[in-house]
Amino acid sequence: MKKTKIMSLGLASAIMLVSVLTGCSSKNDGNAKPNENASPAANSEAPTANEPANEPANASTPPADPLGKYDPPITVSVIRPYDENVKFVEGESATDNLWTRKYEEGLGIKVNYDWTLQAPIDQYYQKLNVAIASNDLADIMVVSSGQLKQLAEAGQIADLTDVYQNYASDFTKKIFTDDGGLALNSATFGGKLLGLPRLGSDIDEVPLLWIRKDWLKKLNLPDPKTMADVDKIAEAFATQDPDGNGKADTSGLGLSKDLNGGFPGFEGYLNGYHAYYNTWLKDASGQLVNSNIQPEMKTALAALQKLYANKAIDKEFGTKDGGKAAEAVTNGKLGMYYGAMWTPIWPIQDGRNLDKTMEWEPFALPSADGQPTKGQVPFDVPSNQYYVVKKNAEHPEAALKMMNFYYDSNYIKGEKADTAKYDGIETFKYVILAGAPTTENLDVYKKAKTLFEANDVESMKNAKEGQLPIVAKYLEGDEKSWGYYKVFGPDGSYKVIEQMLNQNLFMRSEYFGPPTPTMGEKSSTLDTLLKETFTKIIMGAASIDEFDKFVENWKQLGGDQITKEVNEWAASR
Amino acid sequence: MKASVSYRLFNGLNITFLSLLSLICILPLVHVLALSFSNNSSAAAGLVKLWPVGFTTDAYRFILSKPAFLDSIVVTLQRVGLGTVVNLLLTLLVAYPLSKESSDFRFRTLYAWIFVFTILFNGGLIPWYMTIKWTGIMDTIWALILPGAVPVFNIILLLNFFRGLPKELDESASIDGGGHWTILWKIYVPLSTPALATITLFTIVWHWNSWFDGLILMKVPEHFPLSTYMQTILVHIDLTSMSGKDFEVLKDVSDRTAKASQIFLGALPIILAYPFLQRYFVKGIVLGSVKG
Repeated sequence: MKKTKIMSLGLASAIMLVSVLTGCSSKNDGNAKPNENASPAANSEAPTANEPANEPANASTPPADPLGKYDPPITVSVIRPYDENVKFVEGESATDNLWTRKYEEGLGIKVNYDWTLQAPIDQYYQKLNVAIASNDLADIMVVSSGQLKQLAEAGQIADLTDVYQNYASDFTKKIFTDDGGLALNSATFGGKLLGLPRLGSDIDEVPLLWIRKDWLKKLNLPDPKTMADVDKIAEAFATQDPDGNGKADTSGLGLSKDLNGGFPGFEGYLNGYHAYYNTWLKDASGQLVNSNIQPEMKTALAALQKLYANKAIDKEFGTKDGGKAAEAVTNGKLGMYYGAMWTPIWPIQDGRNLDKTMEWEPFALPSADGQPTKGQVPFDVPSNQYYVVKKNAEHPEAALKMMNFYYDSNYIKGEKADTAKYDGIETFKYVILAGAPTTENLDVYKKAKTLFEANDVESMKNAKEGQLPIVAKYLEGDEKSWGYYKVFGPDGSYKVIEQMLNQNLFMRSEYFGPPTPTMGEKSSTLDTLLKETFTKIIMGAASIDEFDKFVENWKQLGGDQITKEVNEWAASR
Repeated sequence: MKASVSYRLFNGLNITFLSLLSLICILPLVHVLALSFSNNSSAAAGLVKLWPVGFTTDAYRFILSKPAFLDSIVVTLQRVGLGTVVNLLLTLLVAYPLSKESSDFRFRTLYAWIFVFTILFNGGLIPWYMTIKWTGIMDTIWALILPGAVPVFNIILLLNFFRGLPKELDESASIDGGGHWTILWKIYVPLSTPALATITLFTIVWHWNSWFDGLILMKVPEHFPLSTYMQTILVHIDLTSMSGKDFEVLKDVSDRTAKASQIFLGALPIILAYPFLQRYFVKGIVLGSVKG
């Protein structure tokens, strides 16, 4: 009784309060102070009505200074995630730290966290879903692309088109245009910019081929140039006992039950046959087509099936996730995999801690024919995160200012935190609106290379890029820093990525809009279908002709509809 | 003698089967314990089975120096302490009147159905969240306690237990001038200790283990109960989508030993409490008060 009563009372009051509050807020909005220059735009039907030219006309509008300080200070509420490994120094916390003070001192913006969550990002999104459904929103929020779409459709977030035009600093504008406007485009709905993408580097995610160099030498095998070499090496690693323990317990090519991913992934292998996983290509007639159903995919799968039949792939890969597959690297049972640039840090570093003779080398992707292989890079905004502003927020431009402020202090001024106090603490993770230029990591490598060639370990130790002091540690003999050395060092991952960049060997999706309606509805079904079928084919449980059936099913289950929507999007551009 | 052969055969098989069953339950725990005392690289290589490889107590030293872990233990202790008291009190206060006959308590059946209704139907996640939000207890310890303050399932258990008590006890008490309070506290409660112990155990374990409400209702990590905190550190990182600076987290991915030690420390209190409350299970919740 009691519970039911409380519940019904609570519900009734909740509904009443919601209606009262929404009523209130729209009224408030009507009486809003004139300097809230962006609020009308949020409600206006014609998104381009409020061009910058109109700005000076409004006498009480503050001049659009990208880094202008608020006086008196304003308060913005924020909902944001922290990743699991952020650390705070004594006396600071998620809600009160170096950057909350910086925002207040530099911009006059007091950050008031509605809530934060330091957890795997999925749990953050789960919690945020509840908040979104209850319309319990903060002024500035970090959301996923799916949530962005949901918020956009429900009209819960502000139009940032004019705010962006007026307040983005030159640097901010530059890095948003460096990628040809792809990222901003993915947050534009019906001509309105509704979110600011968190920029990241897509080239960081390109697959590389990683091989145990010491095993290659031991078995007298050449470096791989073609896919035939790759298959030969994989089979040799599996059958010729490269670890010399007299047992057939090694495997040649790492795969996990997810098939795709940064470790281990099958994209790199597919790319060798000019097949691509989950991306959109232009066919001969200029139409956009999905890469998963192309004939090249069938060829690549047949090759993987043959490798599996020849025991070069772990018999049980279909039950192992990435973490489980990593054990084979760590305990020296795996000789080759396709994986991202960061794999030396994990899992190879763990393997080297146990066995220093383990030597892994990255290679550019070999090709099945004479044509150079293009490595595929992902489809979304790399981080899949967007910053949005609640509709009717009092200061939508504060979001832009905070973003400018971060770029300004990190990339233009290159400020360093109080090093003594924040030694070893990644303070950049406290930043609310962040992002990085595409070549950020590559630039670190270039700097490392220059300093390495000049033999200047001292400057490396004091470099403002956090990775370089770790590389320097390895050069001074710290084996536990090998992973960073192998990523950023002179013969590390970025050496290969730089080569690929110079030859323009990246395959980007031809579609980069927000998810289409059918995509949102069907893509998880289609992905399950794909993974089940592909796993069966690779494991030999289904013949390669099963692929043709898969193509039919894929088309029927929504693939054709998605293709149609994607082409409509392309035609409208 | 023939009977004794089959008897021994049955016994032997029974013991083997039950030992295997308990081994299946214990081995994972032993594995986690072994992991927590191993060095990190061996753990990451999957070399650790049931005995630590490269024995070290680093993981425990690291955990005990971590404020978040200790904070969350404090929150959990508060939650279990307060929550158990509130739950038990309300369970008693509801179960007692509902155990009466309709002739003594007119709308008994109606009230009972209203309670049962809440087991069968609930408002769903969003109304639940909004209710808690508008009552203003978000981000306080009460948000973890009040929404589940009336455990209907436990009420039904206790109600049935009360109904098994002989009515004569009631009657004699009221003849002697005892009211309902006296009957409840002086007669029903002392007679139903086994049932109350069982319910207490259910409640403690439930409060100890629930994590979802902590995740959704608490605003800052410092207010997370232990199980929510565990949930945030233990879930696998998704390797299929990782970019930019994300690789920084990888240094810690292989921190299996730290995770294992936290699982173990988190489960320890319940493991220790169980044997002591366990014996009440034997008497059972269905046992009546009048014996022989």
